[in-house]
Amino acid sequence: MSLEALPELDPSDLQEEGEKDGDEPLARARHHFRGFDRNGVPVVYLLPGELVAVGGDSQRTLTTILGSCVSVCLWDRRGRGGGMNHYLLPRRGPDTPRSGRYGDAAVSLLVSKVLALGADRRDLRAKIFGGAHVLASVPVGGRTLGNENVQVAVAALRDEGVQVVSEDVGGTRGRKLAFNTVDGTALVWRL
Amino acid sequence: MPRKKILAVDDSQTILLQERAILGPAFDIVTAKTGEDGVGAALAEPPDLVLMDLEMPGISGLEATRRLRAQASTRTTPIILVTSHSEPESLEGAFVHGCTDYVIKPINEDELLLKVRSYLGE
Repeated sequence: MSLEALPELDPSDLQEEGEKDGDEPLARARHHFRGFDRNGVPVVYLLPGELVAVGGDSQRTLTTILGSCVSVCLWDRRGRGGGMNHYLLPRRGPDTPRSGRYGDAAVSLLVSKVLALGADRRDLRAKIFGGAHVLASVPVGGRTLGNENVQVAVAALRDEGVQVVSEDVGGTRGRKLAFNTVDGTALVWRL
Repeated sequence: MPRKKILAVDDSQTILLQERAILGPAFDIVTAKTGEDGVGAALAEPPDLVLMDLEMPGISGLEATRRLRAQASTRTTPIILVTSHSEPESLEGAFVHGCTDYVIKPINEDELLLKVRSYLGE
C-alpha cells in the first residue's frame, strides 16, 4: 500500500471530549498519519492528551512516546474495535473540564468510544504502559506522578469492568509504544 | 528546608517568563538563553532539575543534555525537555540523549508544575 493509497480516516478516529463530529478531528488525523507498518496497517501517532478509537473494520497501529504519562490500550478480543489514550496527569482539578489529558476522564472516554463503535464490554481487554520515573531513590510503589497515573488506570478499568491482561509500567526509562487495535498486540521499546 | 533550584534553558524570553511565573513561587529559578550557557550554569552550580528547550542558537537542547549526562555532577539530574516539536522522532531522540521526560509547548501550567514536583520528589 502506498502513501497515495492512504484511506480516509473516519472522523471518530481521533477525537477529544467536547469536539464536534467532523472537521477538526479528521484534519488532525491526517496530520498524525505516520505511514504503514510492515503488515500494511495505517500507523497513527498520538500526542499527549489525545485518544483514538476505531471500529473493527478500521484497523490501526497506534503509536506514542511515553515518559511519566500513561497509555491504556483497549481492544475487543473478537475484533470489534479498539483504541488507545495518552494522558498526562492522574486527575483533573475541580474546575477543569473532562479531557483526554487526565486519567480520571481519559480511560472512561476511551471505553465509551470503543463500545460506541461496536465493541462488547465483556470482550474488552486492556494493556497499560508508561508511568516512568527517573528518581532511583523513590521506593517501589512510592508516590510519583508516574505511579499515580498507573494507579488511576488500574482503578478506572476495574470500575469499567475491563480485564487488564498485561502491563509494562514504572521504571526509569521512557517508552515507545505501538499497539494494534484489532489483535491487541503491543510492542514496547525502552528508550 | 532550602528551596530547590531549577535551571530553565530556552532562547525565548517569553517561555522563560512563563516558566518563572509557574514555578517561581515554589522554586528558585535560574535561566540561560543558549545551550552552551545552560551547560555552563549547570556545571558551575548543579541545579535540582533542568527545563531544556530543543532548538536554540548554538548547540541544541539534545546536545546540551548529552553534555550534562557526561558529567558526574549532572548525570542523574532530572531534565525535562520543553519543546514545540511533538513529532515522535524528536521525542524519541530526547529520551535517547538522556532527557527524563518531555512537555509539549504551549506549556500547560498544571502539567509542568506536577511533573516538576514529581521529579523533585515532592
